[in-house]
Amino acid sequence: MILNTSKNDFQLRTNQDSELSTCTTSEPLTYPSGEPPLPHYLAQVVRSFTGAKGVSEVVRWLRPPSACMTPDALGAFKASRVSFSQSLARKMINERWRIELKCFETNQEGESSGWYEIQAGRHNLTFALRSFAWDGIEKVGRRADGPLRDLLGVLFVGKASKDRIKKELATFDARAENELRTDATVAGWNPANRSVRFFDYTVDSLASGRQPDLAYLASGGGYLLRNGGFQGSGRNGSLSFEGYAADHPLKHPYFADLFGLYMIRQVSIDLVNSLARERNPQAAQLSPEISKFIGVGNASGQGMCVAMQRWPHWIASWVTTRELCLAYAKSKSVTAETARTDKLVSLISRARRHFELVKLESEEFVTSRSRIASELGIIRDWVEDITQSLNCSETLWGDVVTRCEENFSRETVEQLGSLLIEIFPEFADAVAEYLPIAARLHRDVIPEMEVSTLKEILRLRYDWALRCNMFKDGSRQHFWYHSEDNGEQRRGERIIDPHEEFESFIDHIGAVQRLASTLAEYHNHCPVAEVIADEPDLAFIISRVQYLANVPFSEIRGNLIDREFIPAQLIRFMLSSLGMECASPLSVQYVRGVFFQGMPTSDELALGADPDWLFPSISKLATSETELK
Amino acid sequence: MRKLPVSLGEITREGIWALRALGYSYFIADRATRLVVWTEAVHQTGLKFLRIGNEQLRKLPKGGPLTTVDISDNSRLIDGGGRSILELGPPAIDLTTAASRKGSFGQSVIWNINGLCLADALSEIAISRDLGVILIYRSGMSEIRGSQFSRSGWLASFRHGENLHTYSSSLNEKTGAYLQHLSETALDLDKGSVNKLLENLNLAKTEKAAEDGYLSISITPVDQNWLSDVNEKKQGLPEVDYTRRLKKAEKQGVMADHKDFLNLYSLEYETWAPTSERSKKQAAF
Repeated sequence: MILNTSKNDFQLRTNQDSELSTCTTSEPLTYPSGEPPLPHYLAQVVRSFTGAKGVSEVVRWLRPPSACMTPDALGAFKASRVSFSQSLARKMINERWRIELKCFETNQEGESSGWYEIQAGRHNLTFALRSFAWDGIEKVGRRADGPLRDLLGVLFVGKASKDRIKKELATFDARAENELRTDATVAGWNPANRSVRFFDYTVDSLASGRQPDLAYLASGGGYLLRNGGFQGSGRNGSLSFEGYAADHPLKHPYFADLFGLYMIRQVSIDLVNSLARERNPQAAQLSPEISKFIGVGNASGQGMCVAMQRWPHWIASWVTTRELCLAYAKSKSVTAETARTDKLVSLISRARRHFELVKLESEEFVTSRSRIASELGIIRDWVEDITQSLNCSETLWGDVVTRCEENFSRETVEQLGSLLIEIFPEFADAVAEYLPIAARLHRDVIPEMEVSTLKEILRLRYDWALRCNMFKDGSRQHFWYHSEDNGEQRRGERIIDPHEEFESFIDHIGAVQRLASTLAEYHNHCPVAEVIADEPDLAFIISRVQYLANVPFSEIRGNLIDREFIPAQLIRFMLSSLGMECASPLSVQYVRGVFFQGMPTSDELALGADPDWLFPSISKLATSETELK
Repeated sequence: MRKLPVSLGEITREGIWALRALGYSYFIADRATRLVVWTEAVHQTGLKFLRIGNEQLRKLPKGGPLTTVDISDNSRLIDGGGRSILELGPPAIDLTTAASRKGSFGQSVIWNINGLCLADALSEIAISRDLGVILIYRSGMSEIRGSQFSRSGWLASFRHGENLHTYSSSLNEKTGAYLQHLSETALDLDKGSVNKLLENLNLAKTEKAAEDGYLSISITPVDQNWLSDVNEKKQGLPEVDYTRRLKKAEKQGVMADHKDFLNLYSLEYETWAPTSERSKKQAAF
């Protein structure tokens, strides 16, 4: 791996594969901000689209990390074509995954069970579910709930026999977390809970022979079931990520989690239909249009912040892919290709309507959806004005974004960015292929590296962390810990709350500062192995600094233990990277939102669905439903 | 004995917290957990080590630097101070790697060390750095003892292209011949290095080693060209296929003893903070 900077070149030895190594040609794709060059794979993608001469035109539009890696900036990110759920959706649509409901049984108490067989390309999967009688209590949908959920889904890797399904579903009789066990034939479990307001309303509507009011559903985000985590990737004995075959469709970061989520969405549709029919054999069934509008809710808590700190190269790859796609779009002329501009105008209109109609449960900590809708409307007018002006050929999308940055909220600008990425789909799709490649990056110490080199990396890449004042009041206020409530991550205050000795790692700035201070005591030519031998605790941060040395956008530029830090910002960022829309913080540490709204249903997938499913046109549907009522 | 499937991902996730309950910092546990995971995958004794060693590991000395007693010619003598391989092993591999990259053959000898049934797992670190590694170890009197734990042994491992070649057995009368053969052929060590290696083997046979616990780590770069006819050179050597065991465990998980499994989780639970009203407030919306 090579760290190229304007002033220093040093060779860092690693065992990483060639796609992950940085660009080493005579024209390294170095960021204006002094960030390291693009990874080899991404550099190749850029060249293949722009030719060697066009590379610098793209790279100059990359934002510096100081502009996009702070918690506030990350919290404004919006889902885009390179988000995981959208990547999965493309795969499912392109490969025409077949999802066949094999059995769905519901009794009068409201208990249900069933299973689906799935043909995912050349691979088989099975999804089974068990829902419990409604106890009238809305569940928060967090780890603290343990197995006490309204529904549990299970995703099998392969075709599961009836006996295997029966055995797995019987597992859920154990209503204590530590008694729930599975094995490596299972990718994971998807616990889910009912939306109190909308689940029963929808069943009641259908049982009465009518469709639910879409505008009413939209007022709550547009979902019936809310997923509460994915217990897979080895949890409870399930298959570890490393255990998937190389060609398996779930051998991609988060695809197992998100496919389970998609299935919960499908289950929610089949479940309300089934319950309504149980109540009234002549009940209506959800129309295809409303089914398609139904998304799946999700609730996530502050444990995500700890995960993000543990896997910084994942964060880096999410930001790098998105930023690169955005830079590519910004480098293009507004009017060079009319079809793309028309597409953007159409997308802005759809997004605007979506922002107007789909309501958040809370708008604290976020820009209001009405403001974003309003600003998107102005942007659409600007774009139309530009296309009609005489000197429009000189205007780049980057110029439009710059103008928006000067006038509108951060969230609006990020939404525009996501839409711009959408109008260059061929580039985004090529870049998105980097995500599973980037996940392979492996952290290890480079023990022979000299202290002087490590110091230089700190100076070049962590200057922002070294400048952070960790002695001011409140700068070390919080720590994260596992609580007795099923190990859920919570945030405590130092001195006041117990168990600080078992805090989770989240203080990357403190660790970097400790390292820098320790290195000052060593001779420049000393290998870092000697430092580790003296202070074995430092191996962690040394390996982190080393393996991220050539990774662009590699660290969150904020103090996560500071009193002022709002975990919801980073939760929103992670959820937008996964593909969540409408992320709504219900508190500083808890965010809800919706996935797969508008995504083709299983029926549509088999027939060859329309890949253009974002921001479903609900105003038309809502009107027609109102009329129908 | 009741067994149940456990995934490597699960042991990795919970293992860090289990080690923290035993008194290791997050930063030590981060590296050490891999030794437990690897050992469970390959020898099915990683979780058992945590259970049987539960009380003893808590009491072992912890923290502080690796104490170098002597250093010369890329060789280092370390007093482990009775600490466990969880804490001493990875930094010792780092030191030996650095020495190897400087002088082509590096070695570290650690006396007074515990937890040597995890020793083989150290090879993974060197292998991931594309280096050849030879480990020789012997447990001391205060060692954590389990009927299935290896008390003494050696392991030589190196990568040739995509293939990992690993040879291993307990220490016996043939060990010297095996190590000499491997050193002079596949690993292509010079005479001085071969002698050092055999000297390390002799140290492992001393009463002091049986008293205190002993681990020697030798690391060398591997000349891939020289290895082209490696298959001809391994005749009669005790070859083991740890790669296959590891892959199988990744794909199918491992069958762990129920008691070992419960111990893993009970250790993790020790790190969970008691619920308070302040804490519970965060579980609400």
